[in-house]
Amino acid sequence: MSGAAPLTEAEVRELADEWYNKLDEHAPPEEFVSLLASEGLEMNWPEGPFYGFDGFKRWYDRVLVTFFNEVHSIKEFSVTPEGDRAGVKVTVQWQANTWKPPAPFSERVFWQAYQTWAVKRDPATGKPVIQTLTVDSYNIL
Amino acid sequence: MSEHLSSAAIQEMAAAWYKKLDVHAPVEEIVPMLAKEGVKMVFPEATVEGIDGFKGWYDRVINIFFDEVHTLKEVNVTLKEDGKAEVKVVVKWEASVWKPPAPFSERIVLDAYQTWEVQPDTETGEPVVLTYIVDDLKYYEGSAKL
Repeated sequence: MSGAAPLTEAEVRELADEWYNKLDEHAPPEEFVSLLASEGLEMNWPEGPFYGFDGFKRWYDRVLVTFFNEVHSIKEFSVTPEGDRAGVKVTVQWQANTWKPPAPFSERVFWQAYQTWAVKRDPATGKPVIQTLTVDSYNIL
Repeated sequence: MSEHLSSAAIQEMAAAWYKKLDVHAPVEEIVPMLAKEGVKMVFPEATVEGIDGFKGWYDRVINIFFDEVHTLKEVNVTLKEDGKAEVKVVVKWEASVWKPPAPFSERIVLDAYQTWEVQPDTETGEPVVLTYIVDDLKYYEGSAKL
């Protein structure tokens, strides 16, 4: 036991809101550091698994040059406390544009993704951070 | 085959021109609307001459702008004694631009005031553009700038 205070649903939701806002705004990668576990980070996107902050950056760098006008909307959010950690089920709708020059028109994608997160309290800052994020499934809306 | 221009044919050609720009038509579909020799086009960002000059300009444009909508507002044709025509065009142009990794695209909305010199094609008699000058751009409120 680490003795850290149990995570609350409000704290975890705040983390999720900040995560999606930063994705929508194409925030610099460095701004995600405080949201992600510094050790053992694992993200399982439909494109494949990515490990550590460098892995996140590789995934994010591609996102930044592929999608724009992004809107993430959390539709369902449930937190299961597990001591100083928490399991999270997220249903998020994601809209974005893509454009491949010289195509005349951009395309709007509209997806719903079902994700499972493991969140823990960062030992250094005391703030919740994402340890693992897995896209369990997704569908086109 | 008549080599005399008509106002109706020029209006039709102007509408077809912008339709092809909107859909980023293959350049080969647009070139026949230009004079084979001596074509000159003056855009805000560049002046191009000749068919090859147009092709270079067009290649840049279709890699910068998307979701384009051209709406013809005015096409005023003055037929001249030398067989050519001066055409005053006002066209509303809407287009998006996106510069990765920017989070959002930007929308340009403006009225372009143009003067064209049109002549009959020597082979087909169809109207073709000899000179194409963008005289002025008037942006709508909230539009991104070029």
